Amino acid sequence: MIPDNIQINQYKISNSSYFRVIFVKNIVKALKKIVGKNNVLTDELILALYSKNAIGSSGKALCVVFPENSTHISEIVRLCYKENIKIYPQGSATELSGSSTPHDGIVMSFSKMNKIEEINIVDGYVCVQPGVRIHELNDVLSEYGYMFPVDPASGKSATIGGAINTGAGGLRGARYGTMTDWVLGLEVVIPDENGTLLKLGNNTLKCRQGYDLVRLIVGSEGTLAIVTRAFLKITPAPENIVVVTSFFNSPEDAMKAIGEIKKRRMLPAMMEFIDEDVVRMGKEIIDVKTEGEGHMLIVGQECPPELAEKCAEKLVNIMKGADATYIDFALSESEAENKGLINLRRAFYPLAINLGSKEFGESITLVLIEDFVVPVSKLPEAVRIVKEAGKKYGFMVLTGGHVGDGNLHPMIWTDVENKEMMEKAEKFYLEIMERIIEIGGSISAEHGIGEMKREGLKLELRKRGSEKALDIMKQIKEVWDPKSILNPNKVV
Amino acid sequence: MSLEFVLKEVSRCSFCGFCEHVCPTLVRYTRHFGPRGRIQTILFALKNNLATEKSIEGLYTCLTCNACRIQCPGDIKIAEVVREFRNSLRRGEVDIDEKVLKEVR
Ligand SMILES: Cc1cc2nc3c(=O)[nH]c(=O)nc-3n(C[C@H](O)[C@H](O)[C@H](O)COP(=O)(O)OP(=O)(O)OC[C@H]3O[C@@H](n4cnc5c(N)ncnc54)[C@H](O)[C@@H]3O)c2cc1C
Ligand code: SF4
Ligand code: SF4
Repeated sequence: MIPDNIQINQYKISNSSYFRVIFVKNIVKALKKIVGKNNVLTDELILALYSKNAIGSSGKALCVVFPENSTHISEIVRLCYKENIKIYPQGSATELSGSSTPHDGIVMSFSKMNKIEEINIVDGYVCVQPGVRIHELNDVLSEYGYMFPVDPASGKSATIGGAINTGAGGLRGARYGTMTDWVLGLEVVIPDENGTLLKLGNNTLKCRQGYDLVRLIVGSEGTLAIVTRAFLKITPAPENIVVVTSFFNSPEDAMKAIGEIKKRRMLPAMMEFIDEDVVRMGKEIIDVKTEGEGHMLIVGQECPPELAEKCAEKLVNIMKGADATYIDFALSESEAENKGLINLRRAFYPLAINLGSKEFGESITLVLIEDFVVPVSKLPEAVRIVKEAGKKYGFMVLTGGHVGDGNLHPMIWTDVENKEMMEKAEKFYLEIMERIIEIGGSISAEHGIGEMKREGLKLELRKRGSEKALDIMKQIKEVWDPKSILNPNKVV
Repeated sequence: MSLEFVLKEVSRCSFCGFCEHVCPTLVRYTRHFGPRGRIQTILFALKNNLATEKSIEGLYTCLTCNACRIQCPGDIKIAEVVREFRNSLRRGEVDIDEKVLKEVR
């Protein structure tokens, strides 16, 4: 129960530091009564560690609280609603849009709510707490020959709560879609005066429960409700995967190959692209034996082992038809690992860190990964747009992405301590956002809007003549969070 | 090895957290007991002059087992960095509040 004897409000009238200290002290005292004294931390270093994210934004938190169950969460919300205290839900803080950054409120971490509560193969779902990391879930599911197929490149750290709220996607997106397609039901606490717990959707594979509030929460970036438990659909893990890597003289040729794969009615689990710069420089930092040069396409097609040779042959022929300059293949995932076929794709992010560090030395290097989606046929144009803009603003841009679904991640590196460079980076991204919208794309495929892309969202809706949609979104926020205490000033 | 080496290594940390899931000291604890937290702790100490008792607690509970290193996309030599930073603290090369340091000495 919330301790009613604690008078917090009276101190809020003044902003003077004395009253503020007492105000914070009292909040902390009240929170400790709810979750126990070890589950509220106020150490300055800990606050700093929980106020950052993977794009170097840093905010300010009053304290970090570690609820252990949904009752704790409900009571915390009640307290915060009464006292107008902001709550910032946080998984692993690997988001790339500023959606988890706290500003003068409490950070709610789910690292103590990290249990897989149920695995139900027959009914086809798992029930998990929000702090479970995606890789952990897949490790456990692999025992049953099953998987949760949404696999962001950050799966080792990304939590289910974070992935639901960013609407994450991943390498297998072309075949398996994004989080939207795999959440069956959610238990959430909404930011009202009672910290009401709602069960939305169900653990069944179908459910038509009026307006689809489950899918409204997916991708809502912690602005509407706090996810306390999730029912996720699972699927059998493929028996075998054939991997083909090919190199092309131009993104257009790679595109020809993707088009042909689709025409031949194949639906690979993975279609990853990296540009010629990543290939060239990636070879310098990792040990890959390939002789291929130019733009690289990696295709991973699920198929039973007995059909693997036929499947590989079909893919190799498609690549030849698209004028691939070099082709290699493996009949299984383990063979692909042995041959290092995916290593260059894996080097995409490390390469940027490496190049940034070389350039900026002891300054803090920031790798900025963008997240556009365009119609698949427009990918070559999108690659050209970002490369040209990079030249204009003086950035080397590396591009790679989950091209099976048109998702491209242009990446640059900056020196956080260089204000001018950071401003240039912002201009660079605004310009490419505009161009990407013009060719029919969207500014975010899977990372979300957060704080960084609010202007981009406005721009996109304006260009589509749909500004009214933004008003509707604002009204939705107000209905769920009337006092705007839950992750405010994000998304809309 | 030197503080210069330490600073160069920690400046590369992108806060991706890929290193955390293998760390034996992070289990059910807070971020400062894991590799990401430790690298950032050192960064905060060197760049922002921020060090607290929790900084020391986090750094001195590292087993320097190296399990995290292979996970790091920046190839940061996490265990070596922690060890070297602890040595620098002992040698008094880092400007940190005496109160915070008393447990180390
Ligand atoms: C190197 C790298 C690669 C990446 N690759 C991909 C990729 O391939 N695909 C992709 O989609 N993303 C990718 N990302 C982005 C990011 O990792 C994902 O969006 C991930 O799902 C975020 O999970 P998290 O636990 O870190 O969440 P956080 O960053 O902590 O939070 C993300 C959002 O969710 C909210 N939130 C978290 N938990 C809850 C909860 N229980 N209830 C309510 N709100 C909550 C937060 O407030 C925030 O708005 C990548 C990031 C990095 C650093
Ligand atoms: S070296 Fe230290 S930080 Fe790395 S895994 Fe071992 S205990 Fe954790
Ligand atoms: S894996 Fe490396 S770059 Fe990522 S958080 Fe850990 S130390 Fe930093």
